[in-house]
Amino acid sequence: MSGTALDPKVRRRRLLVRAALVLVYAGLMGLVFVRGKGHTILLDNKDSEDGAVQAIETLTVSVDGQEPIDLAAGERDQAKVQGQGHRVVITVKGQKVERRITVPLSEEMLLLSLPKLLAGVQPAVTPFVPPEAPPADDQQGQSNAFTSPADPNATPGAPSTPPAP
Amino acid sequence: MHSLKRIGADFGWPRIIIFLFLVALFLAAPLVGVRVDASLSDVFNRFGQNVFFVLALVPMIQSGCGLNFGLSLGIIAGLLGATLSVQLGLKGAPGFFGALLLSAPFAILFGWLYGKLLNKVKGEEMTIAMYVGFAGVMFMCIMWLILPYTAPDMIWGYAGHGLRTTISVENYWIHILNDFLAVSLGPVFRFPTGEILFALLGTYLMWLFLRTRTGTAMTAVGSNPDYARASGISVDKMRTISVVISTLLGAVGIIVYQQSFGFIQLYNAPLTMPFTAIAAILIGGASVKKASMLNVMVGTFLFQGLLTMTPSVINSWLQTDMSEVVRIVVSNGIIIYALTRKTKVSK
Amino acid sequence: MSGKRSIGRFLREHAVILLFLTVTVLAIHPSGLSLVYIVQELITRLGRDSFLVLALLLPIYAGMGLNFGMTLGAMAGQIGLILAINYNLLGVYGLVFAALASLPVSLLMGYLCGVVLNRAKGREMVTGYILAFFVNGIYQFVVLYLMGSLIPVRSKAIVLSRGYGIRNTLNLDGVRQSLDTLLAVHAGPFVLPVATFLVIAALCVFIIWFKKTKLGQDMRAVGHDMHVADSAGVPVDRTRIIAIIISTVLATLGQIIFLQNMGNMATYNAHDQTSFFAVAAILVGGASVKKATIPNVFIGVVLLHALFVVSPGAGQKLFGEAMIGEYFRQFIGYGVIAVSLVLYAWRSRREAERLRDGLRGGPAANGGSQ
Repeated sequence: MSGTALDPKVRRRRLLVRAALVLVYAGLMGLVFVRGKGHTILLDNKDSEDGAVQAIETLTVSVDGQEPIDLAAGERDQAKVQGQGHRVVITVKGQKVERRITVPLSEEMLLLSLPKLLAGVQPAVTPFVPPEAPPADDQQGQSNAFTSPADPNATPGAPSTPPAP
Repeated sequence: MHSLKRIGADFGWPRIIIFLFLVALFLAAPLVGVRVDASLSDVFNRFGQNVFFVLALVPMIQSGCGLNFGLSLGIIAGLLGATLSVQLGLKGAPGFFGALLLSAPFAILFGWLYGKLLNKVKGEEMTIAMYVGFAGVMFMCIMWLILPYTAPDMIWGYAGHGLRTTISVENYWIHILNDFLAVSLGPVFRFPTGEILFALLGTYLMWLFLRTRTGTAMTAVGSNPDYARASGISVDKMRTISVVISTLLGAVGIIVYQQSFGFIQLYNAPLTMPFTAIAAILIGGASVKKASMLNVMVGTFLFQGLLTMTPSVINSWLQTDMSEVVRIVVSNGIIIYALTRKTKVSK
Repeated sequence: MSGKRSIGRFLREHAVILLFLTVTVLAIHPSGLSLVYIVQELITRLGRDSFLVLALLLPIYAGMGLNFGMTLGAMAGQIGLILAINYNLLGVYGLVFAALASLPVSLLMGYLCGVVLNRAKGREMVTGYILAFFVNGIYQFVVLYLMGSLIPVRSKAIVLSRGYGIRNTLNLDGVRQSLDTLLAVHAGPFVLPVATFLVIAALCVFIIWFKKTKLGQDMRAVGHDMHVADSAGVPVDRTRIIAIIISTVLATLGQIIFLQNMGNMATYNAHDQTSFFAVAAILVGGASVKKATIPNVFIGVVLLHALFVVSPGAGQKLFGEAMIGEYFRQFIGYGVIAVSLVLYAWRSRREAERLRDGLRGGPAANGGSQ
């Protein structure tokens, strides 16, 4: 490329375009990440730890317009959601109450205490730490145990080797 | 320094690099707990096992048909011969040579048809050969299931018909060549003299053949078809002959392989064998248009050496079984390397 | 008399398509499948596979033959999906994320593939085929050994029990058919994945537009004759690389579309058959190593998959065993590609001979090298 009078101008414009593309790329990735992130919300109808808020005798809850779930006092169920902000509709004795909750991006599983949400006690949504589960064997794909002790000397017989020249 | 460069250019830098790498692996072997004598024994064994496949590529390269990706057809002929031999209950030397004889008619037939096909598609041989080979293997997969074999060693016990995927030749002719005049040094090292002698014989015969009238005509057809035609040589006939010979050698190759390996492998096994042979001959310095006995020997030795040593050394070093991945990367990497060499237009 | 010759010519020109139609129609009855089922399968497969086949067009256009290296793009797409699953991203957002995340890898793969193919001019197809296996080895190394160990993986559910390496089969429930169902339209007994079709249509429009740009014209020139293009000032090597890069990126997106329809991913095998099916489809559709059009793509997908849908059942009926049906399908697949390639090569040689005869000893039109 021989240097012409236009070169620096062309180069600058090219650089700007490329920078803009990178920004768009990063921005798009961030956007889909935030809007696509899946979470599991555990819906709790239990007394709060300090006893300040009592469980409701019986309630029906629906998250983001999903199937309503009945919960008696002390019960727990779960709802799978996508994204950060959610609409929670709780029906107690025929009365509908609607609340909005936001879910932190980094947590997979969250615990939503419905009594707390109704009472307005913050925080109603807390990250959920599953108890230590025994190491999952190969067949179970859905375990949420945090760390299963990995044997550094184990010979992996599991992965099947595909044929290739 | 000037002469060093010439030696390098003459011998081919790729081969030198791979040779040095192989030496390095051998040097590193004892350091990671791999026995050198066992490895050497392995390498020699695999050399003898595979050399006929590589040899089989030479006629077609010389006659201008390119790399024989359809070697599977010759392998299938050999499998037919081997299974027939077991079916007939032939053991020992008669079993081995019986397998060779029985596969010959198939190999000649397949080779002849295959050759005729290739003659119609001059210029596109390699890709078509690949798919013809694949289709042939798949067709045989169906055949292995329905052909009326009855020997109990070979068929599925439960179903009562259809050949098994792998058939052991332990009771028949395993190691018949390897053990012939074998030399054992120490507990692990066993030099398969018979196999190597057979291989050397085959190579010598090929070398002789290339110097006969037919052989030189074949080479002429590959390097300069117009000149050959002008000299009255039938291009098509030479090409067909080269394909038939290649297919025959493929059949011999698989039977030699089986007596060393100990098993007859049916169904999908022949799919990948042409590729290893092609990798070997390319790394031996051959090109798509020209191959010599030296290419065959050096190439097979280097390639099989790499395939043996690299996984075992790396596995021992990293304490993990990565042999499959290593094999894939190494063998295909070599083919790519060879395919991307700029072919010099030489005389 | 000329009527007879033109029928003969018509048969020869469309030999492959006719061959397929005949075998397929013959196999429908023994397969035991209903027409409705077959048509619905075809609709689904059109949505699932067309994008991948379209990815083959530009390299053919640029004279590089069948891009067996598209597998590299497929592998990049799979890495993107692994990441999306890892972060538990759902629905179409997950797919877009996978596409974006795999983009850098895809571009790199395409560039490398292009460089390698440039060094193997005249042998592109074989080289691409082997290159796919080579990179497969590297992919295995990364996914089986590095992921979970050197490359941190958040979701333990996708890791093997030994602690590192991704599982053999990845459940793609989170994004399963999310593109297909985005705009599913019911028409009689059939369901149409309209969103997927729109994406495919968008690609077709892009390709048509691209061929009209300067870059597209450059590719055409390079595909026609590299030397002439070079002397006309076209940057041959660079153009070829760009063709491969675009093809690779399209293969990445195509593989993501493919896998979202399948619903699960065989981590180590999903890409193995990708190039085979795409190449078979485009060849059956009437394309050749040197010329391919968009109709070739769709005709090929329909014909090939129609045969693949009916042949296992027919094979089983004919031979009596399920395993035979599977081998039969593969045999037909490979055989058809071989026959198509043979017919094409034969046809082009006859064209060259006819041309030569017509010009009375003038130089043949094409060089004929593979």
